[in-house]
Amino acid sequence: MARWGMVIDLEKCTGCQACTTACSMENSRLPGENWQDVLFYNEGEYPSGKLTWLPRPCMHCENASCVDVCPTKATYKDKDGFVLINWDLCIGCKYCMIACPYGVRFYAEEKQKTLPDVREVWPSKDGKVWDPPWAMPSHLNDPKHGVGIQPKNVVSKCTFCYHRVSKAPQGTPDLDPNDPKTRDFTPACVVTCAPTARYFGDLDNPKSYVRKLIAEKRGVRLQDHTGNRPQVYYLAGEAASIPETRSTRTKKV
Amino acid sequence: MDQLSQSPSKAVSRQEIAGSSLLWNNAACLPLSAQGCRQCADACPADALHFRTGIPSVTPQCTECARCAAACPTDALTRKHFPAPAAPVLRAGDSAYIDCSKVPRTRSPEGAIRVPCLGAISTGWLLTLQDQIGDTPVILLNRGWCASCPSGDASTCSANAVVADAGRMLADAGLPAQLQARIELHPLPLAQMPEAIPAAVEETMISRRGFFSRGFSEAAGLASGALSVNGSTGHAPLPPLVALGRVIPAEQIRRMTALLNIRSRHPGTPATLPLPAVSIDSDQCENHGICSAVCPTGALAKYDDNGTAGIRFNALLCVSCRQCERDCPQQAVRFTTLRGTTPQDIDRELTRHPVKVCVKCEDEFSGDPGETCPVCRKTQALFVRRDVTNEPSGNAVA
Repeated sequence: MARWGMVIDLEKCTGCQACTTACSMENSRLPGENWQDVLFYNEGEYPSGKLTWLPRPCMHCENASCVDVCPTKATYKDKDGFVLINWDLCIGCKYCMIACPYGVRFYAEEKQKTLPDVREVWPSKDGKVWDPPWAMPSHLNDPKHGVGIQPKNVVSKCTFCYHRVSKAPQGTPDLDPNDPKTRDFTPACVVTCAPTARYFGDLDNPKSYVRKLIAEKRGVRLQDHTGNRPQVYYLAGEAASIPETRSTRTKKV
Repeated sequence: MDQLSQSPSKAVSRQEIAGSSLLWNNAACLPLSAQGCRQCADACPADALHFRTGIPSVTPQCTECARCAAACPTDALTRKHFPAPAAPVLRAGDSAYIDCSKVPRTRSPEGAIRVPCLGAISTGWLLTLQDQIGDTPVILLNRGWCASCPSGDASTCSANAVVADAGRMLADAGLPAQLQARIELHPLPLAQMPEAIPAAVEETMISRRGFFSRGFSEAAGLASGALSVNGSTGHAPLPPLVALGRVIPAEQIRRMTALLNIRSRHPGTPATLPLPAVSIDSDQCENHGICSAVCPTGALAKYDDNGTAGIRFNALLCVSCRQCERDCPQQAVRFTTLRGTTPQDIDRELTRHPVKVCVKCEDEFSGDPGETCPVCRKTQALFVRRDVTNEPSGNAVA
């Protein structure tokens, strides 16, 4: 029993989108359907305007509103803190997409935004959305946990790289990509982050580094007023690129 | 939805439920969620039918009465060898009898249809029988055993509600009260009641007349296509049934086929059908389409034409599961039961929204009052200034 969580240091994040690309390659995402995305945002007016950004994975909330509204119990909270979708049960009603305050759930619509439509270039023969040439090994496909290429007409979302993290030995406090023992179990976006702005660990383990970071650097959660209690924390220090008003933050002492 | 047929867990099968003579079709079973349909379990007089992990199971308390099957709106549960609603050939002035199969065969009237329990008759079954035998009353024989029978109701005949329901519908269809199905009390001594309902076997009629009459009526039933609404009903006021890969509302179709046939024999009756109705408050509706996605039969469906989009409703397909009402995030859906619906009103549009193009992502959307689509609006909301600036957060790792 763990409660996996992520810490993203916005002071370190450069907005390079390497995490987005790593996630797309790891999970065979359709173009534009980025489970992990970086949102760019213009703040202020000319001449003092500036570009800010925010990496946004699924928050894997403790009290996830998407789980509450699912009419078929396809979306569920795993015992290790993951919020996952059982694609065998999902009917594609998209209620969870309306309920999620972070907009991190995706549904492959009939109309593709980018051309060419990759679903026609690499069509699937077994009812999947598409069949990309760089798909993850087929033995890792796990529709019960929403891992792999999704079937048609289901909602998909970030799994915190369930296929990697769930193999970590029990009681591991942190999944550090620099530690050869845990690197294989670390989510793809964390492994690939060039400025090492991402940390991944067990929020319930008193020995974990993520707990220490959140406590010492005053980690904040997005949209905390919704009561969803995300398990992704942002470190928004002095020089962070987080917009001043984007989340609740504790006052400077 | 394609997925219903693709997903292996939803493959069509009609499997036996261990320890009973029930057959279960998981593809026709309504959504297997906690708030899903539980009409079969609610109908069980012995509390023997349970749904664990979405699969029905029966406890040894099951009396094999098949009242659960009668409650199923989609024929997902059926009992093996349950008699078809086929009319016996009757002499003029005779009535058709339905008897409990606990009654010794010699005490049943000749040609009586023997069912495991009078409560195992559904309204659609009774109406179909009434339709087939024409203007002759169907008489359900109450043997006065129900109160002592583990399958029965404590005080009344277990078929009471169904007969009352059917009576209301038949009266609307113009059938006079003296020709409608009714329950008659023909008590038998309680000592003759066997402990259990006889096992589900093909009921064989003893009398020659009964044997031939059943053969004839079964052939007639096959020819008329008991489940096809647009079949040989003689008149076609109903819209075509489109139930693509969805659950088929078998009970509803049985009822309406029978009622339309009976009505056609009684001209001059008001042309309304007792169908469920759904209304959507256009002001609250944001055209998410969740109602249509969760609807197991496709009674609610999205449509899109000429720059407008919305929801349409086919009352004939509705099985009154009320999933739409429960799941609407705007609480805009209202369900009303058994309203007099004219045939023109059976399939109609409930809402109509203009289709707009999002100013940010240029995606089409409808139902939302703003200029940006709901997805872009949500992304923007992550940046919106809020007045609350000093909430406890951060080191709240507990």
